[in-house]
Amino acid sequence: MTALVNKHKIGKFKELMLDFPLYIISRPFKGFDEMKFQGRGSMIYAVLILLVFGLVRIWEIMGTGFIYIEFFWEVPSVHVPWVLAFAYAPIALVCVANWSITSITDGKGKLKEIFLVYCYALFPAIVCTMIAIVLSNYVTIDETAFVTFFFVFGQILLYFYLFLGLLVIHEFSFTKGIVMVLLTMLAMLIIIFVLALFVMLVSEVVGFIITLIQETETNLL
Amino acid sequence: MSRITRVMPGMAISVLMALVLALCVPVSVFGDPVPRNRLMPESYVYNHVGGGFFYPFPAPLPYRFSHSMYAHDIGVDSFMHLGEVEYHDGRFFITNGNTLIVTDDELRAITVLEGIYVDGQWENFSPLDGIFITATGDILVAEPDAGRVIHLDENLDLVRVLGRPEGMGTDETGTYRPRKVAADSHGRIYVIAEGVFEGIVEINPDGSFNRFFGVVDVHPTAWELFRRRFQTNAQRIRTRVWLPNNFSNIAIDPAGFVFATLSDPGSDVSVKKLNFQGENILRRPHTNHFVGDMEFNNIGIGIPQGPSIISIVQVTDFGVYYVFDNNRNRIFAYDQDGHNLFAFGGTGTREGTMLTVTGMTMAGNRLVFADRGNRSIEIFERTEYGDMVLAAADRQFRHDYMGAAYYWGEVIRLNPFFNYAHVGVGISLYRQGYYEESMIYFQRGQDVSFFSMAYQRVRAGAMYRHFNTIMTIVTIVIVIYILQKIIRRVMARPRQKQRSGAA
Repeated sequence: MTALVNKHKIGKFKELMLDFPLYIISRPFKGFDEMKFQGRGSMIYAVLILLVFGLVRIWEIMGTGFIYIEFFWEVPSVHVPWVLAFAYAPIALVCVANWSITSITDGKGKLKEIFLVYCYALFPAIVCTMIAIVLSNYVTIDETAFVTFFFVFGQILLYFYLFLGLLVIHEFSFTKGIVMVLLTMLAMLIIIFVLALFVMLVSEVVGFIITLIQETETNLL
Repeated sequence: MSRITRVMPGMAISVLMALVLALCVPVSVFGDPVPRNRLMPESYVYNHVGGGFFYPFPAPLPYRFSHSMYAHDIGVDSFMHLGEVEYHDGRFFITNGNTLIVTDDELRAITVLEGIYVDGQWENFSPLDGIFITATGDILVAEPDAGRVIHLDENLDLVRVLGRPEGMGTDETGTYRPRKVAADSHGRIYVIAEGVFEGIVEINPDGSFNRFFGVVDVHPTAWELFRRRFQTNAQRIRTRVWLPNNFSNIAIDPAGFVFATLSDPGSDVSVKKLNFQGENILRRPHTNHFVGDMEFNNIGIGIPQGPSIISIVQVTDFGVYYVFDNNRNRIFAYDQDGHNLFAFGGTGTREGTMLTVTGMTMAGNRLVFADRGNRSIEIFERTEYGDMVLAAADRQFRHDYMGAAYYWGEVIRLNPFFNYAHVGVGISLYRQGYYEESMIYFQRGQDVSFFSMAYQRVRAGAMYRHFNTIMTIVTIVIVIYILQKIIRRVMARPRQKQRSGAA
């Protein structure tokens, strides 16, 4: 009985982590539709794939072959928080920007669904990147084009599936989808601008307070 | 807290001063003789740090300041108008204003030549500039104001006077002021002249004009061409003529190739090695690499700005060439493939620094500069480090990779942060067939192309060794796959038969 339950659990896990993402790759419209309306999308998958994505980014820095990156470290070192921030911040930015744009242009998708679409679109990109990293250790200088192909192809797949998924969950037409992409980019720029402004202002205020404390310390105490 | 922060700078300064004082402490305290110039001028090497980026790393001094020779040390009146200095077979030849000074190996004047007899008539020199000593000891001196090159034999007797060559261009009255001169082993004479924009003037051994050589192209910017489109003819006549920057100095390597410098800041080709068609064949290790300082400041007050201005080039007989940067008074050495071997020098009146250098020459293991700014001849002597680097480059030039590896090993012992030394060891291992070992050294030297070559051999070897295993596994997998299919079909057949039988 327990064996059966375990087998069932493993089967469910495999379905969650492998079968459904592959199903989305092969039938994107149907797959994203089922993700939205039949609740097949899973937050467990999303969190795990983000974890894997961060690990792959670290691996990419440490494990890409010398011939491909043309740079050799005697002792490879990675600043993990920095790398992870640069991996996850764009995802958060895209999700928030797209959500803020689509919620005022009659998009039907929720923030959670946008996030799930991004995570499912990451799947082929991660696989391609992993292939490229492994391959880059076994090529000579003439064969680096193959490695470049896998890196670039992964990125193209990411944007392709992201676009299709957003179309499906927002129930947009193709032209409306293009407009959505452009507006999302604009929203991303605005968010970055506001964030930069905010950081600068905060640093001004903090600097002012620090100066105040220093002046008090030296002149009054 | 605040007290500590207030005291900190004072502490730092006192520690620094203590360090400086410790460096100045007399010799005997440390047990080994400390050279006079303990505070060394800067010395560095441009390492390839990967991905086509070159960055200066500190390095030991390849040449150490030995001594300066002033006019009275040499035995002449003044070094006001110091020109070029050349060395040949134990004698130095120095052009100084209207005089040609010939000295012995220790730079004591033997002869001071102030003029020559031309057709029995004594003629005083006008200011002299470039000087060149041929392999046979003949002396060529350029005299710009008189528009001629003087050819003396090794006893300083006049051989001939080479005036403006016949048939040079259409305008026979234009200016011709020869500044620098060189000759190859066949007697062909190359002259860089002011007022000649067609390139280097090549003169036949018999003194007749042969051709212009290695012309520098003019590259007008897009904006200049655009503006010119809208100019009237009258305006075009009044605008400045687009003339190419001419070469500023010249040297000849033993194979007869001409090395010429271009004082053209902004262009990334400041030294050219010209083949006999006048094309630049100087090798560079990477397309991002160029001769001179690759990291420099573009702003600053009271310090030199911008890229190097290469004004002097000297070639050794093993492919290494030295260039001098007049912008920052630094010397750069490159090997035959264009890898930086060392760079040192600096501006100033301190020992080991220079102000306005007009001539540079190699005399054995000495490097001699004519410094017009300091009115002195500066003599530098090669250190052990310089010996090792040059010996390694020499062995590599002669394809003696075993010998080169020994000297590169010594260089690594003295300076482990010299990437090209690691590549040198790697090349030696690669030539001997130790591909896997050489890969480590190529990695340390950040040399992707050699690493790729070595890796290709390693990969092919692994393939060759494991071909049987790999093919066996692949065959077994295929056979199992086919067998599985056949078995399934055989197993499925009876049911079909049954079904058809039932029907």
